[in-house]
Amino acid sequence: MSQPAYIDRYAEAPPSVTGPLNGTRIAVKDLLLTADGHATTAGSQILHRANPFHSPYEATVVAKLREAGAIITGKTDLDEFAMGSSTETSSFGGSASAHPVANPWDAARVPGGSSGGSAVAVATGDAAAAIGTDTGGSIRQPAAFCGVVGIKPTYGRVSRYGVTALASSLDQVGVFARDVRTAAGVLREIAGVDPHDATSVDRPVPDYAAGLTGDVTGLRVGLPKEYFVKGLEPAVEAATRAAAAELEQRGAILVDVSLPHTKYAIAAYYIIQPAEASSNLARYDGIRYGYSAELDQPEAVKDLREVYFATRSTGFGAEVKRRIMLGTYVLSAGHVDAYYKKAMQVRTLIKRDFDRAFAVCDVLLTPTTPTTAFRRGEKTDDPLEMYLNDILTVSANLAGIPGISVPAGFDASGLPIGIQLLGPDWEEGRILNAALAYEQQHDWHTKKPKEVPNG
Amino acid sequence: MVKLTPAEVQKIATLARLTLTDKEVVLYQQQLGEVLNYIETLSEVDVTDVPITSQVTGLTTVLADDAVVPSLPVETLLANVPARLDSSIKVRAVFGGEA
Repeated sequence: MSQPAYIDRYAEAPPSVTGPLNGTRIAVKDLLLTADGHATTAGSQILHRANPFHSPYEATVVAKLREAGAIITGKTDLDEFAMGSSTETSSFGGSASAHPVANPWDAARVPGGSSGGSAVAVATGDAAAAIGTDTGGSIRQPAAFCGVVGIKPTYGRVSRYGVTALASSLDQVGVFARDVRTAAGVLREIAGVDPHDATSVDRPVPDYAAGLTGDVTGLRVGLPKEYFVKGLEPAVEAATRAAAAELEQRGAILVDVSLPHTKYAIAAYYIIQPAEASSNLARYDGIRYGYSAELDQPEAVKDLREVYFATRSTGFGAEVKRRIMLGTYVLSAGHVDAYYKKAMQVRTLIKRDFDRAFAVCDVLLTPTTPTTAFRRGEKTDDPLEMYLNDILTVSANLAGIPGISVPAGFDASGLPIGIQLLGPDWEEGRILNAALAYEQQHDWHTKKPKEVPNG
Repeated sequence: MVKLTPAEVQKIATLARLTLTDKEVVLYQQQLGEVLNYIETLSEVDVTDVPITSQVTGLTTVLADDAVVPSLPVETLLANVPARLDSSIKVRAVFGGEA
């Protein structure tokens, strides 16, 4: 049924406690560590082949979900180490699989990524909500492609403890749900400072759901001209502009704004993220956990150094190797100033663009993705083309601001369209409320895909 | 136009502890070259006097109390180790092989 969305679908048990999430069925991206007898893979063989990794500790987010009375439905499929925008790089349900994770609205198309499995679990109704991570758009983009709500909170809002690290200054855990109110309720349960995560921020967590009024009177909605990019599908642009008009009818004030450094965001992102990833993935060396060349090719490795080379070369997929090498290059002596340092300076300029925009508007409204879901295999031969998909989402990660994608109708092929609301730091409540105001005008979030791809 | 030589690709791979086949060297040479070429657009940006942003929270020196708290049991921590010797992780000799 919806098995392909999961790497490991649990046998469901009633929650051991009652709590605000009250038996809500929640799927968890297999990037988060669980210590419940189930393995964690991060979509990679380096945590699975010959020695499946069973984490000795659990992610704070997972613990919080259990404490709130949620039922964990299982671990969902993802691009390997969250590196990808289509779930095709997974070593489980990726492009090499007989049963790749498919978009439930069109099985020949991708669900998006990297949190594709989580988006599918919610879109098919298998789970009421799901946990994902978003480093460059990996919640918002699959939410748009699959016709569900996806929110990336402010960096520091939710603990990253027990979340397999991709890029430590960009990664953030977030929520998928069918509708804004459910997303708000789950976000409240997982947010909050964590002594185990020194990058989590000690700020009170509002009751996001209770704060939802749907009232946008006087809300200044900024439309950044650079986000209406060349190559934006007409249906996607039309849906975004229609959403702006509807919010205006409900009392919002539309403001034209400019984020001039938008065109440099992908370049800056694809320096910073791979650089941080190359450092974070150095730990996969075949010594303490997961796959080791010692286990299935000991005679092929003559010394410790070769254990590292053989383990990593066998255990990692191509996209992971590509990004590790990109990161290694931009951090290497002779290149670090021209690339990494420069990218971090451009990051400051991107953040300043948002600060200036938020001086004249309260939220920004943009399309979430330039196109609706693309076909499986369409971009796998061209990494750069795959990366360029992220143009509308990466800036929010670089700046750390919160963003939400909400269903905004369908294109002529019946593929979901998503629109994005971005807010200043810590204004999850504001963007959730604006999203609700929009959602209330439509019933798109109640639509379910007819065809559910076979497992 | 950024062009990586096969030797440069090999050097990067070695730094990253990755072994590449000849075919992979050619493939990554082309793919990495394209990405690096795209990244060249950053050379247009004037970053004079612009400070770096390495993190967005502004937090510094987040401390924990200097107190003893329970640790995970040794057995739990060693359960995933590919090669064990009692309560130690077994590895190849650090010295004696190539550096």
